[in-house]
Amino acid sequence: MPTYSVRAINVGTFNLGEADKIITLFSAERGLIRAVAKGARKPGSKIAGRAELLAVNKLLLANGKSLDIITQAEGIESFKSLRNDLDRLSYALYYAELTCNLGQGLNQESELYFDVFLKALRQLCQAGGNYIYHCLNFQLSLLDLLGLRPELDSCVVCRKRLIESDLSVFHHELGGAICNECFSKGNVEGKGRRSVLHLAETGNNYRHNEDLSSKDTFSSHFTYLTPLVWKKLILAAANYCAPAHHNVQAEVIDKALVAARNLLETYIEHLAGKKMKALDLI
Amino acid sequence: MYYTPPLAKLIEQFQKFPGVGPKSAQRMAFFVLGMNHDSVKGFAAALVEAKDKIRNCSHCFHLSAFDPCEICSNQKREKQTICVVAESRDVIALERTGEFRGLYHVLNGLISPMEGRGPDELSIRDLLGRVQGGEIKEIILAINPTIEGDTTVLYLSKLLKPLSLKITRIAFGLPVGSDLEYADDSTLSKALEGRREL
Ligand SMILES: [Zn+2]
Ligand SMILES: [Zn+2]
Repeated sequence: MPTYSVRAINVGTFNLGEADKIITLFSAERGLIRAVAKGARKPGSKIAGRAELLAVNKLLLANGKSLDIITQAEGIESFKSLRNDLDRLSYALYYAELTCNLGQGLNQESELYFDVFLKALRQLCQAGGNYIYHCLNFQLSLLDLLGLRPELDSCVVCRKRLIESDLSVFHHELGGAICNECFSKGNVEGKGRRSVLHLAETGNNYRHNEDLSSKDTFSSHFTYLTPLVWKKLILAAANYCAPAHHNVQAEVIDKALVAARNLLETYIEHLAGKKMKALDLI
Repeated sequence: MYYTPPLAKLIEQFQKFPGVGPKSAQRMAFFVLGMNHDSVKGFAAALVEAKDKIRNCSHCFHLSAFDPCEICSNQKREKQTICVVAESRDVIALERTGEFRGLYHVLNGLISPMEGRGPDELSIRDLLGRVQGGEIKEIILAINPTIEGDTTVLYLSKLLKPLSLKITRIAFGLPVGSDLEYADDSTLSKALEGRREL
């Protein structure tokens, strides 16, 4: 049987038969692969620990009839410290969930994405990190590699350069921010149009509310974009490190950061056509 | 394959069982044809009866033909302790040890975002309801040491901690009768973590 070796992170597992597991893994060499780990659920099995979610391994795989079979596994990292902290574990599971659902589109960029993913997991292992900001960074890197980077600098409708006082919403269908003028005119083509007009009719009460943590925005086509949230996104997109001190109250900053993360969460869910579950645990 | 239609149908049914491939299904089907008529009727009736009568206990979600189940309605069980498990099968495994005299709570799975299972898909809210009754003093989490298990334990302890209960998780380590030398790293480190004074 022909074999090949990869470095891979386990992003999904489910049980097969009495003792086996099917593992979805993201490999640096070949992107997303599904493979069988035989005997992974037997007590005392050597491969059990290596077949766990989020484990990073060097694997030897053999081409099987339908799925490939893991014949050797050597651990590289297992991120044990994540297992004692719900917030950090939830972020790690969120990254895995995103990889599972969108990894197919990353096969051309597998080497790059593997490094981004591994770096993100390592960042989560460091105590006291700004996990929300790291998550925002991760989401943007993922979108970048998918070729779906959100447009934040200019209006997706009229291409006018956006400024703080001219923001309205982030449109998930169109993949970017819309200026005030286009938005109030309902000047949005295609699928997004009806929902924007609908919004204009119903008015908006959330306009100045920084806390957009409500997660039921999945079904809607846009999320309100406030200057603070917009800035968070711009800074994260520029890979800017958030300073420790800021002239605005710390709590307000965090809320805007959470709102920025939720906005991208919704955008990604829109692209994936699926609600992600891991962040609900936090 | 040229099975006569009822045989093909029977083989197809057996193939629905976990771990049963076409070969085993064929063997089972031929075995049924070799059984006497009454045994086959008894077998079919047992299938239907089990499905009809067995439900989740409305207190602990263990599978039982009675509600409350045999364990919940047993006066000799200690009512202050609840052992939380993922599946009904785990209740059976723990009962086999004869070591535990308290009550159970079956979650009906573990949290696994990748498989679309969040807290709302499990009986977590019902567990909180039972605990808020006030009679419960201790919760034992008998949950697998997997990522899904750890996630579920962390989530449960976040919800249960404010309720001032004793919360413990069962220890994990080496299988009895096994050899230290052959244990994998994660098992060994879990065993070290769960060590106790002699
Ligand atoms: Zn515009
Ligand atoms: Zn019961």
